[in-house]
Amino acid sequence: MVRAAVDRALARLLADLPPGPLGAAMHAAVFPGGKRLRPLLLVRAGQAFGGELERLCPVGAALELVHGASLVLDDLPCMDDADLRRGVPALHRRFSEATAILAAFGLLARAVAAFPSLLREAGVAPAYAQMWTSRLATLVETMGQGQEQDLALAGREATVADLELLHASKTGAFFAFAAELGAFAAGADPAALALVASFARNLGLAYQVLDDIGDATASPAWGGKPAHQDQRHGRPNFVAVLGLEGARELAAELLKASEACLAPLGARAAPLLEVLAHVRSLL
Amino acid sequence: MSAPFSDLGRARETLLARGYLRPPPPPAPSRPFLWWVLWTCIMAESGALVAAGSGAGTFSSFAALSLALVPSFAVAGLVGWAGIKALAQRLLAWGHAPQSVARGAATVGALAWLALAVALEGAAGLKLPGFAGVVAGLALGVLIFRWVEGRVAVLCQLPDPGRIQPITLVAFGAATVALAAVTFSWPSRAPWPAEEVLPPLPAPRARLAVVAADGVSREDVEAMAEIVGGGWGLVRAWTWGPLDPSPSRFPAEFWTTVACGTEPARHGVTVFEETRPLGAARGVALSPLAQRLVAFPWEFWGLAPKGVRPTLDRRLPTFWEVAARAGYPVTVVGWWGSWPVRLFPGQVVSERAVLSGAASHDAVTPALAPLVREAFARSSQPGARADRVVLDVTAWASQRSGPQVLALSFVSFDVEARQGPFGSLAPLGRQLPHARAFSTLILMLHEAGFEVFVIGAAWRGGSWFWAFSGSAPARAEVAAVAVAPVILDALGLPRASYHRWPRSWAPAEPTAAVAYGPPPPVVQVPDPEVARRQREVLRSLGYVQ
Repeated sequence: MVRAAVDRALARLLADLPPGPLGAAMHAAVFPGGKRLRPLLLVRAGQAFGGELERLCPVGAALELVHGASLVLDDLPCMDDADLRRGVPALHRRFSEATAILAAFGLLARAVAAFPSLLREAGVAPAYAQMWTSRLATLVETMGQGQEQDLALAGREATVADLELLHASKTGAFFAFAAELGAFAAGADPAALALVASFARNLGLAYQVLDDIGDATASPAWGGKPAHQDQRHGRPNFVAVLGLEGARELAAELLKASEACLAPLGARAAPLLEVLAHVRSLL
Repeated sequence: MSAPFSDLGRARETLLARGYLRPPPPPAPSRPFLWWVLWTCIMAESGALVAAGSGAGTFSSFAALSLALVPSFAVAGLVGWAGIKALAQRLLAWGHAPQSVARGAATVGALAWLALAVALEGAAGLKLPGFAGVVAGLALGVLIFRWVEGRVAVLCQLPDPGRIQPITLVAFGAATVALAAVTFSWPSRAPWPAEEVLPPLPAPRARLAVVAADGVSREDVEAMAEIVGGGWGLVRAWTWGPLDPSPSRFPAEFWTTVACGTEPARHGVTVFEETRPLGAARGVALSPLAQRLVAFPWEFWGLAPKGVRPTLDRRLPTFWEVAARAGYPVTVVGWWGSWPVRLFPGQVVSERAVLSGAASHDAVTPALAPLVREAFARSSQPGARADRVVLDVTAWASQRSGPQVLALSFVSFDVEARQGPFGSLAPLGRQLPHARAFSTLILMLHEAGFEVFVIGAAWRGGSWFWAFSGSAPARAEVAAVAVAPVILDALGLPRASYHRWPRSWAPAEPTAAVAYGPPPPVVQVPDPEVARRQREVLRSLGYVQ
């Protein structure tokens, strides 16, 4: 249900795409799409505090635009040099590198332009809408820094500390942003926001570890991505550092910690536990 | 690909250190009551420190003031915080960024504290006890800023900063050290002058009367010389010049400056009125705002009585005390700051006796007590009583021949002016009897062979002046602090080390400066009830509100 609502919101956000390859590339970057995990996290966090699905989904869709743009840039030959994404050729393979880059910038621009009004429609006061828009811009910059670190680690032996730093700048930062924003939009108090943010950070890291496991084992749960990509590109990951069993155990512990973060919320945590269960199913 | 499984332990440690694998620490309970009590106590102590200043009271009166301020600061804290919250919500509603709102509210809070501190300070020009007090005030401003910013941030749904920033720690340390230093080093007074072994002083040779003409301007002299003539005409004919009165905030301070020949900060009489918070044995001088803050919870219960501060703080001798040490017979009447009477070989009718008729030992020396009683029995009008006392005591003293010193304060003009509309000698009809009494006084002194030095204090407008029946440089401007050395020179006595001469006025016989040491001790420390009654008298005469 969330996915369908997010897709509808995405369609509205991309309703007036320019004709030609650029518009097509922008559309292809987000459709048919992946798990829509970030919008899901935002919506569920909001629902935990009484937020309404229809008001939260457009905000989640804007986050999905940012996520889509980041994937397009990550796949470029100068970055991860990925040929496939979600089971189909990566965007720069389907169009051109130049078009892919321009499409990524187009998606980012649309997300940032629409964000304040989407937040206001979601019930966020104007002062806070401005603040969260600034935080979104900061998030994009932080993700850029994370990608730079990722590239710098290629071919080098990394530690868990390196990997955590990398994750905290990319997936972790994005997960925490999505969950916190959803809860904030629904009126969560600062103490609850801290719990939700901590939940999202642990969940995000667990998701990253699971992603690494999926890459190493070619798990069908991570379908659409070619296996052993990290090994092929010499990218360090949690499986390389901790071994397969160690990575699995760490992921399980992180998921358990995520659940513990939600304990003080009691019954309100149910929507977020649903997200947790979804991620746990990847283990 | 297969890294050692034992690395998992290190991985856990790393991730734990970075906040993973565990729920966030529970937020600190807000404990509003505890914060309220804490801030109330801190601000009450700081407020007391700022309000009392240095040298305005003992440690016990400072402690009592701190306690007395607690209810007012408790209410002020609640009202202030409610105001800041309302302001923050209003700013948010207007669309201001939450961070800016938090900073703005914090700025308002810190500035409110600093403004309060400035308003609390200022009683009788008392200064904070030095650098430590200033540091404490500013550091508290920083702490208030940080605290309000944090609280308003939470109010604005911003993440609680949580981590204590270095500037907060520095400010907390500075405030703590400064408050402790000031508190435990209380009181920080100027050193009391040591007893000196005086060199032999010249034998008495002059017969001099110093007349403090309160409320009389040079223009009044000119007018009264035409209307009344007599003594006024004599004064007009004497050598005279302008008097620079600064600093002169209230009579006791000004006339002590004249009598001691140095600034208030040095002679120590800087307080006219004091409050005794919670009935403390020693009062403290407070600014109007501080008085209100103390009075608000306690006045109804009679626990914030006000009184006139006796001049126990005076650290230097007056010209008549110096003259008495040199062997001059001395008589003092009504001179502001002469209450309580001091233990020295002279006769004193203090201003308390002249204004209230008190004949106790703190107010008048026993030999002159009957004259005071008699004068008060003969008249019911305050100005007339004061005139009567001055004239009767002068007549009594004039019977003695040879060298002597009279220090006479003629207060009735000023008393009368405070009863009616402002303006010099207004209304004239009421002033005329006092003008005649003044004339009589001058004639009496002239006939008794006194050299007379008149100091005119034009409190209500007009020119402050001095006039001297002896030889003096005409039109020389004399500062209030330079009167005493002139008088000592006229008495043939050396000036004190802290005295300075008026410009264009060389001493007749230059002598080396002498350290005269501290003033004589008081005969009797007046109890607080006496100070309260004296304040009532002065209030009825218009000296205090």
